Amino acid sequence: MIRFFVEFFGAMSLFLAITQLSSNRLNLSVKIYQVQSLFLTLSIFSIGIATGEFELFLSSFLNLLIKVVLIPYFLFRILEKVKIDREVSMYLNITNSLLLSILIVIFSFYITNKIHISGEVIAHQIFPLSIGIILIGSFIMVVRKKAITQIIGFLTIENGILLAGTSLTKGMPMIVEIGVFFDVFIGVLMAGVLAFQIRTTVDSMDTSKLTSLKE
Amino acid sequence: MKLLLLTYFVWAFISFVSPLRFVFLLQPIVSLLGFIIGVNLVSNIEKAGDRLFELNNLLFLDSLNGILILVILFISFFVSIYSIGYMRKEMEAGIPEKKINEFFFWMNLFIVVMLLLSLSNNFGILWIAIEGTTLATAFLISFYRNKEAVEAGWKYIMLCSIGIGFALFGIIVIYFASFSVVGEGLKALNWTEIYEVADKLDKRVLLIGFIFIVVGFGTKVGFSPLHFWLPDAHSQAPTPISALMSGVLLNCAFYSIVRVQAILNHQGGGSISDKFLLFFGLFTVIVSALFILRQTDYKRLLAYSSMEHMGIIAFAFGINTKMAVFAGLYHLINHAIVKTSIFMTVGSVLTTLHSKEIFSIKGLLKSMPYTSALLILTVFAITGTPPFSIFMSELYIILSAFKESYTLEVIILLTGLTVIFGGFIYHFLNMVMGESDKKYRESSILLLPVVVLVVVSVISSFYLPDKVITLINNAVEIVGAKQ
Repeated sequence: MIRFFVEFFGAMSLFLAITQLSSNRLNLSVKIYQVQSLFLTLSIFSIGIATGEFELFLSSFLNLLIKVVLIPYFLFRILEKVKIDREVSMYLNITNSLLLSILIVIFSFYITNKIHISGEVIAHQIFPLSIGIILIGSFIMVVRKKAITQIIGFLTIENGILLAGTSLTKGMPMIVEIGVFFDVFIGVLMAGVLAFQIRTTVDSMDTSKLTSLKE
Repeated sequence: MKLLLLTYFVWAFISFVSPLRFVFLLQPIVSLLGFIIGVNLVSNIEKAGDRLFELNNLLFLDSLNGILILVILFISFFVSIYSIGYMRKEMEAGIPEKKINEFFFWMNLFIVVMLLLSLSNNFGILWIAIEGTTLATAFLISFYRNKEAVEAGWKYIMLCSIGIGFALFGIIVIYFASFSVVGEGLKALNWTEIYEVADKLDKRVLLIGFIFIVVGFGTKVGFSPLHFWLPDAHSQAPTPISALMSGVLLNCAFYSIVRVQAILNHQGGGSISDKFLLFFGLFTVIVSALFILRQTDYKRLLAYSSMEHMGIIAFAFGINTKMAVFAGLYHLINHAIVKTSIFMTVGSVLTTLHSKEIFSIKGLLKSMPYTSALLILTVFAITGTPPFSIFMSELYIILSAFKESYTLEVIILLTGLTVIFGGFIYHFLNMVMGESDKKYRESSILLLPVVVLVVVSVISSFYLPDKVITLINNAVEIVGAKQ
């Protein structure tokens, strides 16, 4: 039963990562990321119930605090400041990127089938799901141009890595988890500040306009 | 070790709030103090098996990271002196005092996380520290806040964070391999624990972890298909930071790959991981040679040269014989010294002329005679001309590769090195030669560290202190190279 919940929440996270591709509004993207992090939190929480590890509860709480509350709050603040909401510039339109995302998911299931995972794993199906989230996160970073969406792509990758981590190993040791959360949080803050500076120096949030350093 | 980390950490915050005169006075003293503490710590290590532990085995020191610690502290001492002169010049050019405080804060924080990175026994903490170096330098790269600087900072923070994210995945995989043997908890990520039980670990899982780690930390090292942030970041940062990033940070990132390779070597899976390093090393040298040829910005040129040297070191570790690894570590030290010195000379040119264009600068020998003399010397040093120490270490690497009959690889490597030599001579002679009627004032605080480093480089080509030789020999044993 608990395994069903773990896999369900993991699958929902993947679903939301794909939904991310279909959104062309920055505000909505941040909201989708928020919900995805919530599902990730629930997934970690259910693994915690399944294994009875206290550290997992702590890590799900931190996840809730940082990724569902603090980071989205900060991103919303930036969006308010820069007053841009529409993502009009993409390298690939929504339909095509959704079609490609199907291929990505199939691919991630295919490669993880080849890798034989021995040992104690809570939910086998979580592993391909998390690889899928990681790949789709990278895909978001490639096809979207706005600085904020690229940050969200990075955060999606990070969510995927965390999901893989908890499903493979019952979570990393606590100090490491806290350190990773802290680094990601600071990283997003700094990336946000840099995105804001891009907005003031280049007069756009479009990272494809950053072309002064080319060979 | 705690003391060392604490000194720099506390100093970082003090340097942020204190008046600048005070910072200028104390920065070299603190870094000298750090160097003394480091030498003291390392002097406790005699044999390959010697390890010092602190903080519940989370921090440790053995010969391999002993070398790295000495390099970090040595270079940061010189950079500290240099940065005072550099920042004085920047103040004359109109950078506000508050920003210079900020600069010193981030620079000291940067040194702290590099020390933490190399002292940490735990892969998790090592990861946190590497991500910490990204964060500490991100604002330094965008220090000048112009269009290029912001762009470089953005690329840097994004590409490195993704790369390091992959490395985190690799670390999770290694944790997965080790926790069934060592048991759960923090100690399953401890390098010393994994190293002890290496032969019991699942070889294939470890190799998957290694691949992710080479790709992840390789982004930070600047291995070739993953290097796109590197020339931007190293060229946009203020010069003291460029020197630290090229001379030390790349070594630190490479060191974390070496730690994993040591585990693989220890359990007999090293022969596959060697090939990855060999490939990345050669490819990086070739690509950087091509980019050096058509460069128009001399700081970018030096960034590519850093990539080249990391490629050579990776090549040496890829050959993975005792002699090659010895030469690789020797090259790592030499590169740190020489690259710092050439960045410093170039930085003096930059603060005086405020131009990075190679072809817009002419007649440096007339307008800045001392600086350009040093520039010529350091150019010869970095391209591996005798009597400078880089020549010796490259010679050792090439000889050891021949010994293992990697003939084709050596020929490719030598071609790359020749092209790079040509590119360097062409570009820098262009800057030095020619006529110029201007005469600039050269500040001695900017030149003195360079002179010392160049002399050190010449000396270390035929003499290394016994202590350093023992450390390198021990480190070779720790890495577990073949005969």
